[in-house]
Amino acid sequence: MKRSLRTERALGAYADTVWRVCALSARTHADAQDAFQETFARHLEKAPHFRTSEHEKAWLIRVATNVCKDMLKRAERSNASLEQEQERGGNALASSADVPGAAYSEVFDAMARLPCDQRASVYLSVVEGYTAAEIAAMLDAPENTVYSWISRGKRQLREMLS
Amino acid sequence: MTNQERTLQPRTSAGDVPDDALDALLRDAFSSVAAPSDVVEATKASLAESAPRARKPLAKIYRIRIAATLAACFILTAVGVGGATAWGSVVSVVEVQVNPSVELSLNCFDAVIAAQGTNDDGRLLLEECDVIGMPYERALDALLGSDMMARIALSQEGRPLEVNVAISCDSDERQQQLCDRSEQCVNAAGAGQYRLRLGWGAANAEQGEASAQGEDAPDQCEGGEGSAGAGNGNGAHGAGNGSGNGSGNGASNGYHGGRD
Repeated sequence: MKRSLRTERALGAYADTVWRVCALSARTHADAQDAFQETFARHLEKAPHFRTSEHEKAWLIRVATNVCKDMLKRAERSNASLEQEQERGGNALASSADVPGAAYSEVFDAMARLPCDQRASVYLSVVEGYTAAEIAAMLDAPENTVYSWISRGKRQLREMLS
Repeated sequence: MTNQERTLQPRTSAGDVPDDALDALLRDAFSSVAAPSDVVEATKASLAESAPRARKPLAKIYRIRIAATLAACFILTAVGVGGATAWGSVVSVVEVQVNPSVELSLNCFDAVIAAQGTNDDGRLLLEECDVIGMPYERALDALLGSDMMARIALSQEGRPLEVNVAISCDSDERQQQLCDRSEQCVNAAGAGQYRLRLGWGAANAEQGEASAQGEDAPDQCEGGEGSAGAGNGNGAHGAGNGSGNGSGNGASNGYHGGRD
């Protein structure tokens, strides 16, 4: 299959998943857009042969997470404080006008207040259904650390939502 | 207990929200989040733009650059070596004999790459005039305009001084061109002091030899006063009067035979 067709198909199948990852991790809506585009651009350029659709989905999530991390690092280097940005507008998902219904804003706000790794771990575990081992591989972290992130993240969420 | 089960174990130690309820809340919240259509369309457009470029990997770009650099080096080397070889290769030999006599070796650009006097006066003349590297016409001009030649021309008491030119080369066309240039140079130099006589080339030595044996040989240089076969009928062909040197083993041999 031609690369461009393969990427277009991936865009149709995994756009929502990749967007959620980008929106969760990026500081602003614009950053989330950039990360989303960059993720699929890398799919076009560098995607390996995928054995299964799950393999492809996991690859996209990993790339999207890394792209967002790189953007955050760049922003930190340019002295744009992440905390200041988050205080101003929260993360991209919490401030996005694309999130339908005000009922979920409390959940997104709570997620936005979690540290980056905890947020990603909780999302991948609860929403995407990945195991700690799979999340550890995606986030390039030890499995026990992922357990800790999920546990702490959930505890904080419960406290915030109670 | 699997990792997933460990992750999703109900936790009630902190906060009032049960773990299952928290998971359900999160799943519900995120299930309604979709990629904005404008972002998806913009991404599609961006991919369509970048697809034809195929955004070559850096390693490939470097390989192409290295290959291009090597190719450029190879071409430059080939051109340099070829040019140097072409410059240093003798394709024509012109003997200019007035007494002094000199022999000029020309390359394919008709530049003088070697000059030697064929008699003592010729050697003195070349010491006076360094013609190496000059185009043929300039070299001939320099020789005819030298002080030595001026003195010899003066000693002729008004009679034109014969400039005998023998051209050896492997191309009739080049030979004709050199004949024409020689004629122009001699006519232009000294305002009538000189008269040109053109001779056979070494490449035609065999023909000259044949002529010496009484066979006809075609004129290689046409036109102009004293040109081959134009009245003198001797030196130019190295035949006519029997070619004093007999076998005619080159331009100068055939020519000298005709002159003497």
